[in-house]
Amino acid sequence: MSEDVGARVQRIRDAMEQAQLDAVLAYAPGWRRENVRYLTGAALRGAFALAYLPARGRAAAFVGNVADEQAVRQAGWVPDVRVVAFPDVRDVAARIRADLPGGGRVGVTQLELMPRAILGSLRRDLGRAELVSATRLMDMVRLVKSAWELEQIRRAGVVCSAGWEAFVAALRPGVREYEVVAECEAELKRLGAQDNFMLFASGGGEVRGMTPPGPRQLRPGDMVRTELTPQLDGYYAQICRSAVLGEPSEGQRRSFELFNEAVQAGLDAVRAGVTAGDVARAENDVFRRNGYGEYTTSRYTRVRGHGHGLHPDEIPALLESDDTVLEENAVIIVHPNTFTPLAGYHVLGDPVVVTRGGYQPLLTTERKLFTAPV
Amino acid sequence: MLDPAEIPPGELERRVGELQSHLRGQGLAAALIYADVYHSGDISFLTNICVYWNEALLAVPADGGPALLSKISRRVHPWMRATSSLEDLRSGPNLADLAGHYVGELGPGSIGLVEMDWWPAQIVEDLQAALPGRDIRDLGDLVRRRRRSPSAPEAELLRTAAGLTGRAVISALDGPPRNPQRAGRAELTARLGGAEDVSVYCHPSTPEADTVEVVSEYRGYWTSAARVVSKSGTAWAGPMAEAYRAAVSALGSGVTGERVRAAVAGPLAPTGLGWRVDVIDHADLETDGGYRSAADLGEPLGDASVVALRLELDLPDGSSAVLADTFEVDGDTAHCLTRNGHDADPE
Repeated sequence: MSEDVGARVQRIRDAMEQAQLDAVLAYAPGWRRENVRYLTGAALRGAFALAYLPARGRAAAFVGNVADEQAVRQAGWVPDVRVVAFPDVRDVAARIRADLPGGGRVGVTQLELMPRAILGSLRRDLGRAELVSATRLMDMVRLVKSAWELEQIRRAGVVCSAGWEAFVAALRPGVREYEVVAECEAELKRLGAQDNFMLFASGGGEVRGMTPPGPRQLRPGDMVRTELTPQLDGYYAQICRSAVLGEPSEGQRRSFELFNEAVQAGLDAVRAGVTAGDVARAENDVFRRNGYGEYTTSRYTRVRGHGHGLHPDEIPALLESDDTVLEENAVIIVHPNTFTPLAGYHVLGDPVVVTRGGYQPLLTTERKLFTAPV
Repeated sequence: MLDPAEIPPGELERRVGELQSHLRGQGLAAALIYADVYHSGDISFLTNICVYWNEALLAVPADGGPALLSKISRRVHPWMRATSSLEDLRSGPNLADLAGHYVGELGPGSIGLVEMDWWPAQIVEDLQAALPGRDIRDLGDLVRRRRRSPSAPEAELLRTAAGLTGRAVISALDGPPRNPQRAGRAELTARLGGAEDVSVYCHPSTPEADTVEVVSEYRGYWTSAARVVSKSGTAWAGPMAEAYRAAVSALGSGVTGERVRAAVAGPLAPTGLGWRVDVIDHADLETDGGYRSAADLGEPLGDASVVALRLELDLPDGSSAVLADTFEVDGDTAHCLTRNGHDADPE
């Protein structure tokens, strides 16, 4: 299967028409390349890149180095690609002026991250064109995945499950946190992942959140938590699990039961047409019903899940205040990760594809409190 | 992690103190440094903090300790304190708001933004709105420039980091030849050695050869190495190896990128293939050299600087082959930090 690039472009143009945009200019800093990848299909390495799509006419890409120029050409979606040197974006402005000689409305994705020198140059050179943020617009476009995109995310889901198995196999008393991550990352790469976003925490009830791994050595009784997010061909899938070294304590068991009930409640609420807030509320209701509602607040947790795709943390944020409607073929992870006094920070979550009647799971990993021998 | 055996007590304070001397000399009340998860070397250099997610600002007052203003949760402040020299940690959803409050607390005085051109325009504009009438100046790349002259502890860390990257590349070559397996072995070696971040690029160069490239971060210090794995004889491999040796021979204090390009051009001319050669200071490796200005590209190498040499050859089928190593410049020569005894030849 290959991506229907024409359908993708049409989806963007439909959104542009609704938003009364004459063009979209996607900006990619080194850490947020998802929109430029969505438009070009290319895996980029450079510090910045831009992709341009007018309401009518051909797309263009502007990249910061020759390697990225070759990557865009090889992807083959955008034949018009040029190298520009930061912050000289006169070529970009010239192309926009040619398409919109009388000015127009240009939606800029990641306008909020666009460097001062680039934005200043565009404002000077574009004259009457109005630059507005199109970050939300493109987030909404990317929310619904095509069949080809779902195929990529399913592959990433398979690698997720294998990565978790490698993670558990590496757990033993005395091993350092970063050594566990080494075994897991190596397995993900061996299976074809090109990147992985991963957070880690080990210890007992004092753990309040996850960070990069450190030199701490694991001990019997530790609960080891991870969120791992491998990427294959641009697309991420995420798994959240916790494991105990040795026999779980009563608090760890009760914690797992609470989180498992919350994940299931969240998943039971998932179907096309509900909001992100509906799913978050279903998860949080389990905590409230069990007397742990306080721990669903921002003091203890960030979100109750989120979307993922070309970025590991996409919209919607699963928060009770988020009204984003889940559409069919959106991909979200339901994870009520938070601290409670039962066993400290606990992570558990499964990614799913939203369907009309519910959801399709992306993982084969069992949802249980894993244990490792001591 | 913050290990006193690697970063002696007083080293981070000395780096911050140098910046503060500059601020006082310029009559500035504070410097602000923007970082995101892709580009955070300046902040790491001054405090050892790892910006592992999202964005952050480091505020360095002309006097007193620095403060980290970040979007990262307060829940991980204990970890931040344990792994950095920072004591003043402030979190919130809006960096301009955090910076506006911080500068407001400092009282009057001009503010300098490091590499202001690269700052998100919105943060700068929101900051200007929050601090009406305040003089806000561009400090350019003064921190990154300072990082190009490593101190003795930094040089030692860079040698360790480069040795790890070199071992990661070699481990990739040793075993089953599928590229994902190579990437897995390189990742394992680098991570087990303590690397915080690893990028492994394994790609087919031609049916006869593959390239394995590793760029890894150890304690905030980036180094790189790449090898071409020949499966059988190729017409371009010999000239590429010869060109790479010529580039290595050209490295030395005072040498410019132009001279290295001249050294490579002769051996590669008979191939008729396109090529690029780059010499990237270790401080620029986290961004693949992408934050360098045109002036940076023309600057001669400094003595005792640590740089990556990277030669890329464009092959007829549209793929490319890459050779790379990390070197420590020592007078008229440069010592390779990413090769060991059994890895003597660039092929």
